[in-house]
Amino acid sequence: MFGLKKNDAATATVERANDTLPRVSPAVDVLENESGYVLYAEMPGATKDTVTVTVERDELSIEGRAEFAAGGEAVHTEFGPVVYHRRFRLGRELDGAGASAAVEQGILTLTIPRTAESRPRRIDVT
Amino acid sequence: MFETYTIMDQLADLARELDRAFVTGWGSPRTYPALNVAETADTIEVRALVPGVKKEDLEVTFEDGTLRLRGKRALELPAGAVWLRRESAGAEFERTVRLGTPVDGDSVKAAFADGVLTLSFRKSEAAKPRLISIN
Repeated sequence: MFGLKKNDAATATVERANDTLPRVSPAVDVLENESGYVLYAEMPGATKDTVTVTVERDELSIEGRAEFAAGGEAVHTEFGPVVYHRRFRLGRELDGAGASAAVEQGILTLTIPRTAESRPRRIDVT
Repeated sequence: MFETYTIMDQLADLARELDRAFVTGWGSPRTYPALNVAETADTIEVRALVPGVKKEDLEVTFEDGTLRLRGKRALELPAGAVWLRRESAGAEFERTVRLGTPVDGDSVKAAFADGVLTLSFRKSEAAKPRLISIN
C-alpha cells in the first residue's frame, strides 16, 4: 500500500529535488491576436528538457527548472537555482488542448488557439 | 479571460514586483541584467540573465577592468495583435561591473545559451594565487 514502485521512487526524488529549490513566479507577457493568445514567460536557464506545460480543464500550469552550474567559488550572487512556476485559468474562448510550446533563449513561448466557435467569422450578407 | 489562478499566484506576483522594486528601484535598468560572479584559482566568470535577448542585440565590452553589458530585448508586437499583459523588464539596458581582480582582457571567452550569457576571463599572472616557499 505505501510501497513505492521504482518509477514512483524516481518521480518522488525529482519532486523532492524540485521542492528544495526556491519557487519563483516568472514574468510573463501575453498578446492576443486573431487566432488566439501567445504567452511569453521569462525562464532564463531553463531548457526544453526542464520545462513542463500542463493543461487540465481550464487550468494552465507552466514549470521550469534552472540549475546554473557553478563556475567556481561565488564572489557576487544575484541569482541561483530556481523552479519557475505559475498557473493561469484559461477562458472558455481558448482551446488549451490545442496549445503548443517552445523554449528558446530562456523564453517559454506558448501559443493557445481560440476554440473554433470563438474565432472571428465573416458573415456573408445576402 | 486569462487571469492569475490562485491567491498564492497573486501573492507571488506581488512578491516579484516588490523584488523588482527593491532590486531595480521601480523600473530602473541599473541592476538589469542580474549578474553572478564566481572565481577559481585561474579564472573569473561572470554570468548574466538576459532571457529573450538576441546575440546581435547584445554588446559586451571590457576596458580598464570594467565590463559593460549593453543591449535590448526587442519584443515585437505583430500587426493586428494587442498586449494583454506586460511584465518583462525594460527594453533597453546597460550595466557595468568592475572586476576586482586583474584579468587578461584578451583571454575572455563568451558563451550564450538559454538566455544566460557566460563570460570567462583568465586572471592575469600577477593575480593568481602563488605558493611561497619558506626558506
